[in-house]
Amino acid sequence: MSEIRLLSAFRTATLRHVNHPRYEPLRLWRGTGGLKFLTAVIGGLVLLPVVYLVIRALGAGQDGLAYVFSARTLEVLGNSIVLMVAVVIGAVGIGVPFAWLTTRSDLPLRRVWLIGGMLIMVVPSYIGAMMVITAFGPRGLLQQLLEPMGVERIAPIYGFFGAWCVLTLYCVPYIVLPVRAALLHADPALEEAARSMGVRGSAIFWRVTMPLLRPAIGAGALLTALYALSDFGAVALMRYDAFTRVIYAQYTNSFDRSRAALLALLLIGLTVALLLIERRSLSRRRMYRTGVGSQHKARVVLLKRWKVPAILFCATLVGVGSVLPLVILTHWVVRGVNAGINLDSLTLETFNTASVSLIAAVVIAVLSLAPALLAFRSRRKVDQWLVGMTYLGNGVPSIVVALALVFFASNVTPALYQTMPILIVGYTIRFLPIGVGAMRSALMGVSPRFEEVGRTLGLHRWQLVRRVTIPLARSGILAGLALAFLSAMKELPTTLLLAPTGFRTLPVEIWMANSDGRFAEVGAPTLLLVLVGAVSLSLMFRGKDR
Amino acid sequence: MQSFVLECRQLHKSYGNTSVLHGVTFNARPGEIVGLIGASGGGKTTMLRLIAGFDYPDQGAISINGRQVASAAIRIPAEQRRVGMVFQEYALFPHLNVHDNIGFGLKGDKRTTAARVAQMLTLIGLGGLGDRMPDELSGGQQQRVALARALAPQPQILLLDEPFSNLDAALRAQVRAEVRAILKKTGVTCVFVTHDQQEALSFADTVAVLMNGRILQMDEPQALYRKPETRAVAAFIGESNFIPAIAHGESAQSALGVLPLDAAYHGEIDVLIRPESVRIASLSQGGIPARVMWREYYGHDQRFGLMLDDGVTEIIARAGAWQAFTEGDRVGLWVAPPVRAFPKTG
Repeated sequence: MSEIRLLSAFRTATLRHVNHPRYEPLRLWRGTGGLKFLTAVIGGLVLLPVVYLVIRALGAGQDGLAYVFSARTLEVLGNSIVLMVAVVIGAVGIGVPFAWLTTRSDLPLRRVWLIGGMLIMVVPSYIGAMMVITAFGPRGLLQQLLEPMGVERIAPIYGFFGAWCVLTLYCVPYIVLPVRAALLHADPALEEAARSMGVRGSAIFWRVTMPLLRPAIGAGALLTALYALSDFGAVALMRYDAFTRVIYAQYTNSFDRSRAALLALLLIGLTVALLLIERRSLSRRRMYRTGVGSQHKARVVLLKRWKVPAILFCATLVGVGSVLPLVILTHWVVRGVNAGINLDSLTLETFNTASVSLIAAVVIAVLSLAPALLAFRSRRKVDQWLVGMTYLGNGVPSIVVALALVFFASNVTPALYQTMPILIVGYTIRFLPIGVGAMRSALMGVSPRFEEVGRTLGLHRWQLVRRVTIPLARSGILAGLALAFLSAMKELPTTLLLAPTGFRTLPVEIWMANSDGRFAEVGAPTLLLVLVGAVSLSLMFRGKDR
Repeated sequence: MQSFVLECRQLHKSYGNTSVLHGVTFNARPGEIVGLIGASGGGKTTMLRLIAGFDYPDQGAISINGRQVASAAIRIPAEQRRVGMVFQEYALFPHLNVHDNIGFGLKGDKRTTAARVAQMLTLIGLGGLGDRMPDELSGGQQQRVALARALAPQPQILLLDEPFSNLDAALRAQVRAEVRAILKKTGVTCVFVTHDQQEALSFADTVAVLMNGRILQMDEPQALYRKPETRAVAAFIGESNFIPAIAHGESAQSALGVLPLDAAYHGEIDVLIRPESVRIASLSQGGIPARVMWREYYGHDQRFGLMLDDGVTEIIARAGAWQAFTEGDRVGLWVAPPVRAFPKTG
């Protein structure tokens, strides 16, 4: 779903024990009251539109109830659930072997496959879907290749199959990362113990390794499920009637927006159910954390006659996921350059995208401070709940948040409807968790010892924050804000629903070009967004090896 | 009373339902190095945090140079106490070089600050390393920088939390001596906590034994080892043999014969015999007959577990490395007088 979730799953998998006793940081300092108040206000503002949407949807009455239980709605619900389950199965089925092969086996070029597999995440899903369509769609590259051989039609890529392919591909990293982390950090002594007791070969994997991986797979599967449910780009382009696409269609094509609201409500319900499952599984994640003691490397498993199939497997994934997009992108750019692209409009769009994202990032930076400090200073349940409110954008699909804002603005604050501020509010709600999360974990990374040293050296509260805490947390905070900025640049559904009429950004331009079939024209902007994706990915994993 | 730099009176502290300190009282004189020793979880670190001002006692009072800093009515926070602290993991600011770390707590213009930092660098013997970053220093150097940083603003008291536990065993004794020399040169009053007896006895002027939230005894290292006031202190500091005996004034009758006591007692007692006070030789040279039950050889010396001929009295002896007795050998033993007596408890 969002980067920060992936990041948190990854962190959970790699967290090491901190070996100093953790006294609560600055617990004695009075005055989290102000922080609490600010956090509550920010959280309240974040929740307001969605709560409004829910209330309006619930108030739809008889008609609403009839619509919820109509055959069409149930079909959409079924579509979404089927897609979600299929994507989870697909991603786990590909991701677990891929993670194992690139971590534990003697597969040649392991790092190359791994990086190639992770690069999938660089491409936003709507661009990925466009690329798959370009390659395998009607009159696509594949067909053009096959035409000389007399193939005039290939099986249609649209619908369930296309959506499933794209989403599965894009979710593989969500499985690989936590599973790989678990494999790397699981104590090899456990497998050695099993071997010393006479367990052999694949039995070790099934009896020892697999149970240790289960929490990581579970975490990854939940991420995947949430992603599949909330993704808009892939299902919309593949014309598969899952919730997000139908909500958007209801919003754009009919005057009755309450139906969109009802569908959004159902989607929220589904998401909340998943998040509740996730919450329950939190307590079991500890299994693959290791102790402090030094650790040796796990044994490398020799693949022998499985080596060739394993290489083919990895090559297919990397080929379709990373190489193909590169080829297509090049193809587009070349065609675009040949056709002569209109650089003026592209410059304007880039400027629009960057400036609106920058404003959003600054707003996010300012708003993140209070919740992050509160989360850092207090460990009380109530305060954690307050901070949790600002994480709404993490769980609720962006199409729902955007729809809620449209609803709220058009009914309550008409002056804001279709304006730049509402778009920025949309980005802020969507990406506030990135800001709060980054700031919070950057602060958490600062050992309380440093603040205590500062105090013994006579520093007062704000001096401490200025001279000790912020300098130590600075790079983490900046990385988080850059991530928020880059995420806003790529964001499609929020922009589609909230951008003022005529305000063109890169994602919107690409979207429009797609619906008109003008792929070649968007080569350059797509390349730009893919680069944006690459930078944000490297930011995400920057701190990984520390 | 004014002669104390630090006075802690009847300190009580609990976290939730667990009471960590109940009634800790101790003082430190100017320039004195006080070691708080205790088992982990015994409240040592809590004591330091109370003195530093990171936390406040539930009851009792703390005064520094005659000024009350913590009591029922007063709560002076850490930043206003002028108490320096060196943390176990040193906590050098990773974003600042050695010079800026040491100068961190100094106020005033650049010139005076720089002069003071230079002075501190000389003191700790790291002159010329001011531009290094903390991660470019060895463990021992990092510790001295942390020490200099804490000392630079001339604190009234310096606190050290397990100061040598992060160093290699081989390095520890040397660093300990260096740090002690620096502290003595500056004349700062110092309180440190440790769980390491050797560290406490060799580094401190005065050692306070903190157990179960109380100070059992506070004394010079030698007095603490030779004249422990309670059985618990005797058992905690060093190794102890407790042998039952019947006291008649200044001597006692035991399985080891008649032993002179260091004070007069009457009736049933236990006498404390340190293993190094037991001397052994071959039985032909006399002594109290015993049999070697086990032997642990360390190189510089060794320990023998001995069983007297009465079949119930066991005693541990520490002997020179040259002694070649093995399991089952018959030996004769002597006890170096006088021994310390403790009234019998249950």
